[in-house]
Amino acid sequence: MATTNGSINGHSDGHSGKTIALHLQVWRQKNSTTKGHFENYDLSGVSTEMSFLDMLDMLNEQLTHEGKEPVAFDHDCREGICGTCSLMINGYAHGPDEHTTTCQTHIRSFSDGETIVIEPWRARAFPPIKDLVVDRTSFDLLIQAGGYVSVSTGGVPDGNAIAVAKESSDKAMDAAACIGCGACVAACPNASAMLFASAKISHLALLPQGQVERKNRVANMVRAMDELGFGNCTNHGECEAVCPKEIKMDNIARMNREYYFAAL
Amino acid sequence: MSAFDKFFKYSIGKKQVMGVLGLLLCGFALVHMTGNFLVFRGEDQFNAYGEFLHHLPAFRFIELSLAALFIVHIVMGLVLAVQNSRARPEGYAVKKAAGGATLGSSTMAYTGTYFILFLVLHLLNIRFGILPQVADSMEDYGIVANVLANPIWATFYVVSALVLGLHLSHGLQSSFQSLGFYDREYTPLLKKISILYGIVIAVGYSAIALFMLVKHGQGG
Repeated sequence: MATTNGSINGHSDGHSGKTIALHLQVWRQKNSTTKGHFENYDLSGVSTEMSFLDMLDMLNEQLTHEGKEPVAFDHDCREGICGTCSLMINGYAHGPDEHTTTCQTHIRSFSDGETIVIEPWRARAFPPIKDLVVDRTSFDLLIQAGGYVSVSTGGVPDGNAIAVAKESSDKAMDAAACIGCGACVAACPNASAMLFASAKISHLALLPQGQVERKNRVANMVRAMDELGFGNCTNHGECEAVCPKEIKMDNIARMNREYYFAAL
Repeated sequence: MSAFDKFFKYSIGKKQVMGVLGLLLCGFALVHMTGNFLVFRGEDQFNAYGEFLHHLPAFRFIELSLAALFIVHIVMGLVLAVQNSRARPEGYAVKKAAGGATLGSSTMAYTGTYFILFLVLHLLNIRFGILPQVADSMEDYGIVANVLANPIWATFYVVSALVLGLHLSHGLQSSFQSLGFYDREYTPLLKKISILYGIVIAVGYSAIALFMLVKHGQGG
């Protein structure tokens, strides 16, 4: 059997057994200054083996054929490691699958005839750009406020010359797994960036290289969070529930401790 | 700006003040409830407890400190709630809890705001004795009975007990997290204890209101 539409996106329906029809409600917004609205689209013959973004590619192909403007959405690696894809899918950041990015969410997670509501991340600190694309520059600004080590740490040290406890190294690595997608902010009822900020603060507070700037880092990043218009944490735990990299709230508790030790 | 000012200026500092005051108020809720359980022992014991409290050497100081605790917790809570609502000017058409939020956690601002109403009426009921008007001859037990004999007031107190229980079911464990306590073993346990604490508070205060209604209400 010949593949019919496999060439553009690399997906092939040649071996897929099952296709379903979907009803999509997609947020369309011309630019940051105009008001957005939902548009309804029907899509049939969607392979359950497609990723969610493949499905949006298929929609855009259909829209292009109809002479309509395709839907703008963010994507890059499509391997779940870059943090570029976003999307609020049926009320869940990155869709219904636990700890999975949108690009790694597959159509097999949806049923035939299902209505899927697709919205952009919504937060004052993530202003809309177009359709499903929002401006996440505030995350870069937050990192610029202190999420780095700027003191000279010398040349490449001998292996094991700098002793780091296994537990600290594991926790630092877990925190460093953050891909900065912003799902924590999107899912937080208060649009708080505390899981993101605390992951970076924890990552560097747990390692020797981060010690010199430790106090300034937490003070400056907390100030930046407020100034960028993120909300405050009220300890719901929605952030860790949606985080594709399973960053945990113990990082937020660590940031809280770092904050008052920095103030002392 | 001093380190002290800076600490309170930013969101985490405010959260931590909320946490400390919240824990103190959790303690007060429990002490106040267990003290009031003396209504079950009868009028004389309850009045004696009241006399004991009124004649504590620092009674006025304790009363004003308690008022300050409530006021700071409420004002700071409202400031944070307003900041949080501003952080998302345009809401989602569809938003589902992914597994973190609970009924208690998602209603904190509402249950807290309701409690302002409760505190005002509770003070008018009991502290100032003007709603309903109390007779000069009434001692503490009489004042409480005078309010709770009315089914409307008794219902109001039961509803308020449930609201407080809901608030504390999240508040207790949330305070620990805000103050930086997190443990992979103990935090899940603390969440369960927090819910249990909320249930104890809700049931305990409701029991007082219902007991007094049954004992002193019309036909009682």
